Parts: sequence; structure tokens; C-alpha cells
Amino acid sequence: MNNPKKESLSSVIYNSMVRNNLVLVLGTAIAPVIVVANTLKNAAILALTFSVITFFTMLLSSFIPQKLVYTVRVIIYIAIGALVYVPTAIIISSLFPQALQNMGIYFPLLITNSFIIFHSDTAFLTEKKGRMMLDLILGIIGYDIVVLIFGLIREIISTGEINGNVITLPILFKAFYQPFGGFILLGIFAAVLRGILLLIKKVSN
Amino acid sequence: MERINSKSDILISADMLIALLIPAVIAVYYYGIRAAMIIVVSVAVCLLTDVICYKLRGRVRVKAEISTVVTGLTIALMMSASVPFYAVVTTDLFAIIICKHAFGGRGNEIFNGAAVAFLFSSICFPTEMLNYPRPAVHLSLSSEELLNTSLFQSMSKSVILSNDAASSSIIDLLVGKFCGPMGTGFIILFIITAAFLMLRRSISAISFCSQFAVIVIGTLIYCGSDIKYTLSVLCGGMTIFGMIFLSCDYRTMPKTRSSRLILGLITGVLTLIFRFYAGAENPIIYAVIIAAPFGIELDRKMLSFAKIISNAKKKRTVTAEKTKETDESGLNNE
Repeated sequence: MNNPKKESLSSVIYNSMVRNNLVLVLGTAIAPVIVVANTLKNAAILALTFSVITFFTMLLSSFIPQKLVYTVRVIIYIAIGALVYVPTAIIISSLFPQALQNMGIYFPLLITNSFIIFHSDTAFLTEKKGRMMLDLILGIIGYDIVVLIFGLIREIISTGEINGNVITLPILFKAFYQPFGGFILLGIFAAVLRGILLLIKKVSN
Repeated sequence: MERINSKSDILISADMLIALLIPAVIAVYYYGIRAAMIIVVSVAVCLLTDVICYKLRGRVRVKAEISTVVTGLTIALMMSASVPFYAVVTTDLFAIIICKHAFGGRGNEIFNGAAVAFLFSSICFPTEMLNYPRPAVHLSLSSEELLNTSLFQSMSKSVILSNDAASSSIIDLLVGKFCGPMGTGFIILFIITAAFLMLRRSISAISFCSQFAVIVIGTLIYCGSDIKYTLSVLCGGMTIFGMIFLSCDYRTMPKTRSSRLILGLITGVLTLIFRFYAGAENPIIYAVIIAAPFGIELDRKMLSFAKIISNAKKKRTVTAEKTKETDESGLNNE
């Protein structure tokens, strides 16, 4: 991460949410997005779960001394993630009884997402607490926004509904409801974002 | 990906185009103006999309690149004659944008675009794509009149459901006069086409023959030597058409002969598995898509294997020469 003194708040927001977007640029936790986020509701539950697990795991992980060997640290991160998972699962299952069933294995797998395992050590935990928290929150918000938009568009084009409310569309692409369609759609999303970033870079140059 | 022989892409595509034009004419004869319109729309959309994609990517498009026309025509012939035009357009867009240009354009395709796009559209629009009018029923362009046309499941699907040979006569099977995609059932024509393309070296003879042998032998074993059932399997489900225009596609065909043979065998076996154990209506499509990555890997393995063998041979020759020289110098000293 760059020196916070040199960066304005808007560039911090832009870098954390857009330029280093967790899903579309870094490719973090894309499997749950592809499989689970096929409707707006499922996407919202995924975003909520990811936010809670990642935020608290990273927050607690920041207290782990950096002197420890990387291998040991990663094991501790995962252990913390597992500890955070238990209350999160209880809360989510009480709020949305069907959610755990829908998400299947991808729910517990969120504790081993590459954001916690790799990016935390290289980008976040080396920073000061305040800056780390800001980056973490913005990163999570960036993830949530993409997941929500992705779930919304996927639900509209594949089922012709928004959160269960029918909207009349002339053509429905049912394939996008399936995981392989999700892969293609996420690829299109990533390509569009990268295209926009390139365009911004060109214009600013 | 490398092309299968020294012929240029354009010549191979031209051969394919000629081979596809004949079933296109027959499809128009069977289904009338609507079939012609589907073909025109499909080819036009493919060409237009290709030109736009090249522009967006900032690359120059070779004017004589007719592989796009081949893709458009292949897609059109795989369609039901009653298919709505939006399904045709979606399939074309998917084939050109996602399967061709997303992978880097001409020569870099991993999968056959027409096969993947057809599969995508048949999942998106199953009712429209997989229900067919009776052959020799001329369809109009008007969608209102089309609503009154009776649609049926394909002959391939009926054979799968009844587990018995098709109800059509053998002659009808041979000339493609049964419910199914509008240009994929004329088995006699396709056998001649395959021979022509093999002679012209535009498709891999090894791959085609190995697939054909595996499918025929496998079906004969499965159905207890029932000739009509075997014929139903070959004519229906785009089997022969898929073998020629999808499976032996030079763009995804491996370079070495041994790889092509193995790929043909794998595709044949996969087709049988999808046909008899998964009950897939168009098993060749799934087989082609799944076998494509094998082709790439097989090529790598076979080339490295050939390299190892040639190196070993070279080493052996050098050692033999050295031994001979030592022996000769020893004899001279003596």
C-alpha cells in the first residue's frame, strides 16, 4: 500500500474499491460469487457473510505478531476465521434459514478465501492499524457492491425477476443462472472494469 | 493452435464452405424461405460481429478470412427451422465474441465456437432450440403463422426415450427426412462430403475415421447389431455433421497424427457415453467441447515424447560413431 500522507481520500477510495477491486481485479473469492450470487437475495447474503467473516478475521489477525513464520501465521489466520465463522453462521442461519443450505460448502470456504490468506499478509497487515482498517472496509465495500450488482443483473437476465418480483423482458438468458454462465458474466464484468480503468489511465496520461 | 496441415486457413475454410453450402441448399428445399433467412441472418451477424470485434481490438481483419462465414453457416444448419431469430443472433454473438475474440481471435480458439455457442443457446432457449417442425413443411417468416406450426421433439430424442430405432424408413433416415436440426441429417451427403474434405486434406482423416469406427462399433455392440438403430444414432443428434464440421475443425485439431488418432478415439468414446449413459440429445456437441482440451495437451505430450525419442536416437548414433572411430584408431595403432 502507498504512503497515506501522500494520498488523498478520494484516491484511497478509488484504489481500494475500484483499482484493486477484490472480485474483478484481484479475483478474490470468485467461486462463491459464481455459484451462490445468482439472485439479488443470495448476493446480499453472500456479501453480508463475506463482510462479517473477512472484517473480523482480519481485525483479529492484525494482532498476530509479524515476527512469526508465514506458515504459522496463515494457520492462525485460518483458525481465527474458523472461530469467527461459528457465530456468523448462527446469526446468518437465524436471519435467513435457507441461506446456509443455498450456499452449501461455499459458506465455510469463505474463511479460507485468498484475501485472508495471501492479500492480508502482503497488503494489509503490514500497514498501520488505522490505514489498514480504512483499506479493509473500502475493499469489503467494493466487493459487496460488485456482488450485489452481479447478483441483480444475473437475476434480471436469467429469470426476469428482481428479488422475486417479475419484470417483463423479451428474452431471458437462462444459462447465466448456472455456474458456467456466472463465470462468463463475471468475466465480462472484469473485462469491462479493466477496459474502463485503461481508458481512465489513457485519459489521465 | 496449429492447423492440421500445410494448407492455408483460407483454403481449408473455402473447402468447408463449399461442403456446407450443399446441406444449406437442401435445408432451404426442405423448410423454405425461413431456412434461407436463418442462414443469411446467421452469416451476416457473424461477419458483422467479427468486423466490429477486430475494430474494437485494434487489429486488422484479413479480408479473405472466411472462417467466420463457415462458423455462421455451421450455426445456422444446427438450428431448428422454427427457431426465433433472436436465438440465432445470440448464438452467433456468443460464438464470435466469447469463443473467438475473447481467446485472442483467429488461430487461438480453444473450443469450437459453433459447438459452445449452440450449447449456450440450447440452455438459454431450450424450447425454441430443441423443438423441430416436420421436414418438407415450408415455414413462413411471420412469427404469428409460426405459432400455428406443430413442433416435435427430434428423432434423436425419440430414439433415446423409446430406446428403439427411429420410426422413419431407412431411406428417410439416409436423406435426412426426419425431425431435427435443419441441415445436419443428410448422412449420404455428409459421407461424400467427409471423403471430399479428407481427400482435400481439409479435415483430419485419422481423427474422422477413428471417431466413426468407435461410434459405429460401440453402437452395434450396445444395440446388439441392430442396423437401423445404428443408422438412427449416426443420422440423429448431428453425429456425422458434428464429426466433420465440429470435431475435425482444423482450428482445434492437434498437430501430430498420433494425437489426432487419440483425440478421435476420445471424442468417439465420449459421444457414446453421452448418448447411451447420459441420454444427451446431441452428444457430439458435449464430446467435442470436453475433448478439445485433451487435444491441446496431447499435442504437447506427443511432441515432447517425439523429442525424447529423436534425442535418444541421436545419442545412440553419436555413441555408435564414437565406438567405431575408437575401434578404427585401435586397429590402426596395432
